[in-house]
Amino acid sequence: MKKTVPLMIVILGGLIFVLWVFVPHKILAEDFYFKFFIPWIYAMFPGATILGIVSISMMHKSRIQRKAPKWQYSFFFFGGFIATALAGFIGGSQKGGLFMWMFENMYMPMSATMFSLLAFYMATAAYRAFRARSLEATVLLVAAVIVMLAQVPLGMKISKHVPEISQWILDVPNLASKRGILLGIGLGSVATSLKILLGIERSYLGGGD
Amino acid sequence: MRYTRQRIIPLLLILFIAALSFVQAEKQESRDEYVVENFKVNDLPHDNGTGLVLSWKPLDRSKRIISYRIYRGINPDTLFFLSSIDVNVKTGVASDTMYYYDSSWSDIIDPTSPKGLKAEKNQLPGSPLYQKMPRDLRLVASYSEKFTLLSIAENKHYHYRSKLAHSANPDDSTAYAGLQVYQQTIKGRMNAGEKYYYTVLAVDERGRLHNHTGVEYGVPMDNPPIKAEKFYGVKIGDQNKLQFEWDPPQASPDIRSFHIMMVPAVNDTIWRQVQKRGSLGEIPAMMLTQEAASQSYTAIDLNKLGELPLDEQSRFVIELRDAPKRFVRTEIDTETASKLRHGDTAVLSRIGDQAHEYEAYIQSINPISYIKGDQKLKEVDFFIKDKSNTALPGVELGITVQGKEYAGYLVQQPYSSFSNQISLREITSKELPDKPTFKVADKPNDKGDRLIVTWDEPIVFVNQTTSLNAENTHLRINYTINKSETQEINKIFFDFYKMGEEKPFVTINEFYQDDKFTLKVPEGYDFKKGFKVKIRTQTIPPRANGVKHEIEQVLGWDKDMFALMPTKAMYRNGVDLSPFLTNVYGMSIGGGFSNMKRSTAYDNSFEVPVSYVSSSYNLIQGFNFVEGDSLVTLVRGTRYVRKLEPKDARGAYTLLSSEVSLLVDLESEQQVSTNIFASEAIKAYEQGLRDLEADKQKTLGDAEAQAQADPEAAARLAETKAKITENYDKQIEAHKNKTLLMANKIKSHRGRMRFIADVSQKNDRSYAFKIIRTDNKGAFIESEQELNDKGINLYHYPVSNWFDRNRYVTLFASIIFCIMVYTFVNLAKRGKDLYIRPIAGLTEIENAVGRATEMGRPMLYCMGSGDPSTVSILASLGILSRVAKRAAEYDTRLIVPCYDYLVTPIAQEVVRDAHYSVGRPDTFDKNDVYFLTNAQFPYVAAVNGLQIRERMATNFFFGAFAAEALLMTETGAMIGAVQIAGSGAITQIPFFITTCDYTLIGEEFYAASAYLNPQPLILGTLKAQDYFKFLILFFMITGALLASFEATGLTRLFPLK
Repeated sequence: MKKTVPLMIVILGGLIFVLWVFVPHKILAEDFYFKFFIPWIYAMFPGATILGIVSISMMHKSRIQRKAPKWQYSFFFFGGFIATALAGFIGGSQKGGLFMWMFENMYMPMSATMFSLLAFYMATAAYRAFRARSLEATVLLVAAVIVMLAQVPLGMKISKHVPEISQWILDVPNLASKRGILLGIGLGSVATSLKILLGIERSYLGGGD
Repeated sequence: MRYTRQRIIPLLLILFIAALSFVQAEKQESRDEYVVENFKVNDLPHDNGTGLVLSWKPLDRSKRIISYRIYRGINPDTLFFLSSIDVNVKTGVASDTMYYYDSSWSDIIDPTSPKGLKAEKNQLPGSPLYQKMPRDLRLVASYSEKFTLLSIAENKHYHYRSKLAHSANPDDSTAYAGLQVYQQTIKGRMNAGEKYYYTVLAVDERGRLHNHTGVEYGVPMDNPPIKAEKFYGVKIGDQNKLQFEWDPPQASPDIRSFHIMMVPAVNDTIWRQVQKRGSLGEIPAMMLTQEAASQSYTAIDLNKLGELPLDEQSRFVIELRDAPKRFVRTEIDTETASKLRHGDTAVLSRIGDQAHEYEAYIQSINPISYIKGDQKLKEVDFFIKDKSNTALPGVELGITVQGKEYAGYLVQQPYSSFSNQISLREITSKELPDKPTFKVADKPNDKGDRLIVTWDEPIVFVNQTTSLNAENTHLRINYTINKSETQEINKIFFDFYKMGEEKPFVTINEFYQDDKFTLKVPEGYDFKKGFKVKIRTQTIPPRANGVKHEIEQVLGWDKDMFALMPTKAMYRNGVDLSPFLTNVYGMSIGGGFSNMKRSTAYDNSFEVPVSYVSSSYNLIQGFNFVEGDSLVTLVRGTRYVRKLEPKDARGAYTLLSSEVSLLVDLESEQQVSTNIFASEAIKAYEQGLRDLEADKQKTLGDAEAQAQADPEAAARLAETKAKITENYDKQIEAHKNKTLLMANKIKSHRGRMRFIADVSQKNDRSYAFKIIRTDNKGAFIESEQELNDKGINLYHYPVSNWFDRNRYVTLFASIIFCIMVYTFVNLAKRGKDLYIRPIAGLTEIENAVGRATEMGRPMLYCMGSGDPSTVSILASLGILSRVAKRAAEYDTRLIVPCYDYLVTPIAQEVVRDAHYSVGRPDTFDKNDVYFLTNAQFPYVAAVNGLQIRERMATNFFFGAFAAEALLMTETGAMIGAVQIAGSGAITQIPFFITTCDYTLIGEEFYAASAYLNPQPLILGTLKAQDYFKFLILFFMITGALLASFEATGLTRLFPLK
């Protein structure tokens, strides 16, 4: 019973959405989707947010209690969480308030910093990938060098064929393999959906059987 | 002087006060610097008396202003927030003056309005500014004196939840639909002649609201419409016909009619005076046509009108007239009133700028009485007999003088504008464009909110060319196909000609239409000379024999573009289409034709949006409140009170008309309405029948009485009576409308309203169309009007479809896949050994768990940034279940930080069950599976920190990933963790391959669950998946081969989207 009811809900919900794909009728496209499903999703968000807050708070509380490594950082979580929540609840989240100030002057720069790291990580990852340790890696290296050269004026200077070769690499072998992978992904995701819809795959419900 | 404590303290105190005063003064000064200047409120020109224009000088860019907020009120003490204009903080406002147009309907209250009165923030004490008007119907009622108020309510409120309400006015027995404030949005439109107060303030980038500028007022006035621009006329000699065309002025929304006249040529100065005063004065004019319509073209058949005395001095003008002025009260002297007789006409016209400056005169069967507004007059009430709220010319009105009623007509003078004088252009019918034909079809595969009007064959044209090499021997030709969803093209043929030659040097067959092809330039030909291209299409179904459809273009060298580009002219069957436009006119039932779309020659279809009606728009007639045991009704400032009765709804309500339109009877052209409340509807129906019967008897009686007095009438009596009877019987028959009777028979309120909504939806969403093809200068031709068998306009109604026919292939593919799964699952169940190739990444999961166990360090399982509706997350949860089981068996700590708070409890449940299933419930720690954050880069920071702090031995990245993938896996690689990853995000797979030890690519990731838990059911689906891929490959190869031999039927089977 503990798994049958959720499974039935999943199957029913899944079937409705299968119908939604094939049936453009107003009853499904507008009355069900926009007037029932979307508001229902919005109504679920606040409850789910509380779940998330409880979950992370319990984790940090346990870290402090257990004196886990670097447990002092958990106080930063509680401090940041309470300060941000108070700023939002008391001052509002509109521009000009403390909440928005914190968002623009603390969150955004820190987030941008993390994102900017991507460029350096790409360089290290590229270095690791492009080492010509095997035939495949050498092919990868050569292809990458051509494509990179084609992006800059130097490539054209070296040979007028560099951009053409680069475009050929992107349009033929790269696109062919990409489409092959996409086909597999599409089919895999359909198969997974079907397994879930038919109740064959139940491991996401826990227990695995 | 010694600095003792006694001296220092007062000195410091003085310094402190001085500093404080300085800071305050500077603050005040700085506040004043942010006040906008030159704020003015002016009447909006050319409008119908409902608009004002606000202007002010914007603040300097250095003030870092992000928006200007506008406040409006009906007195200078209380102004509510109306709207704001956003400004680019970096560039500021380039012009010297900013404008805000307060016209048409603006929000009075909406769902975001505060519950109570809220003073605006950061304002000085005593400021008149408030945030939005609160949801207080008493306050709104006070606005009804100065505004026309409109209620917009969702049908679910207006149709099903409105309360039957009656006014406290004893003379008003109307049944109103009462709606509470939260059930509607109220909009307001200003009334001509009333005063409205405004102010404006600036908001800086810190969100601070600065001081407002001075409160100014404006009075919207009804103005003459703007003159018609681009007025052209032609005379089609061989058809003896005049045609006129003009651009309807957009700034004047209340134009009701146009009048085309022939006038003698007058000099510009005199004509400007005519245009200024809006009247021809002494200039003689010959009226050619006058129509009450919103169209912007007309044709006059001179065979019917008679030959015009045309000479060199003949000029033509168009006069546009707006809606007559609103209904007003005026006064009349007793002597004049005593002369009023049945059939008199009351004429009102404005004589000044103020609303009350009207003059009235009565056109009587007695000598005309003329009354000016400055005479001492007594009050006259003009009332409209049909109880509609708008005074239109010709609507029958009554006049009450000192309690006595007189029938009459209220004719109000509209404003006029005159175009410039024009002469006619002489043309022949051969110079007219081809007569357009069109088809209207329901848009297929939609929810029923679109119609498609198609007026031509599919149009294919070249849009640009690109040279593919330095020698210019090959050109890429890009083309565009304009066709509607109901049209299909099989093949397109492009015939290319060298300039000056009549034989094509190449014909390109585009059987697979990808909007481009390569053209080989003939050897020795200078491509800069250009080409001529003829384009033919082969449609499905094929055209009838002899029907030619050929597009011709010239590709010439464009020195600006450095490429061959199509020239402006585009010929179809030898006729240049480029000067012509195609206008689509649409008309709903009971309405008039109006221009819906203006298209160029390149278009051949128009999708008409016909949205479902989900809201009701009703003018607010009044407000009901309960005060103690009394019912109070407020109607435009007049207060009525009576004792509360049991039937009265308690609370505050807006009073709306409870009449709803049901349908327009196409044959009788009668609007059939009913009431929201069944009891009222039945009462009105029965009363209507009784009234018609009574009228019929009265008219018959009058005819008989007249016959007795007049021998001529007596001779025609039988005929007259038969006509009267026939006329009334028709009206009675129309009154007994079957649909209305069916609605009245339905007992339940919900059922009845649902029936009414269905019928009225169809009526409201039906459209008739016609097409006008024109050169926009008078040479136009109209399509034939679509009529049904009874000769009535043919109306089209979009239908909601139950199946998307584009998805037949998807449906069949899904069914085939299901059959395959079923077959292989059964085979697996019967014990057939299904071989699955080993995947290194999956076999290594065991080793990775073992490694972490040996090292005594935890493992990380990351599902990326997805929610439970993502298939990758569901697949990942399946893998998590297997990994968690292994971890529980080996007693290795598994940490699962979640990105989504809905995924968190599912993941907790999965891991907990894994521990229970291997008999290790004690090792499950709920705090190891937790929600982290649903912000992308904070999540990365937290996971990276976790990896480094906990010194992970093994990392699993299975799920939905975006830019965070590389940031996390690179950190894992740096700390030396064994990493296994898999995702459905193709853009992230290369990053996983470079940074992880093992990567599941594409489908391997989705198959992982089956590998880790090789049950027959799951293995069966995997095997079916493999065989389905064979099927796809078969179709791909076959389709490619067939398409190479011009057989595109198979590729056409598969939809592009």
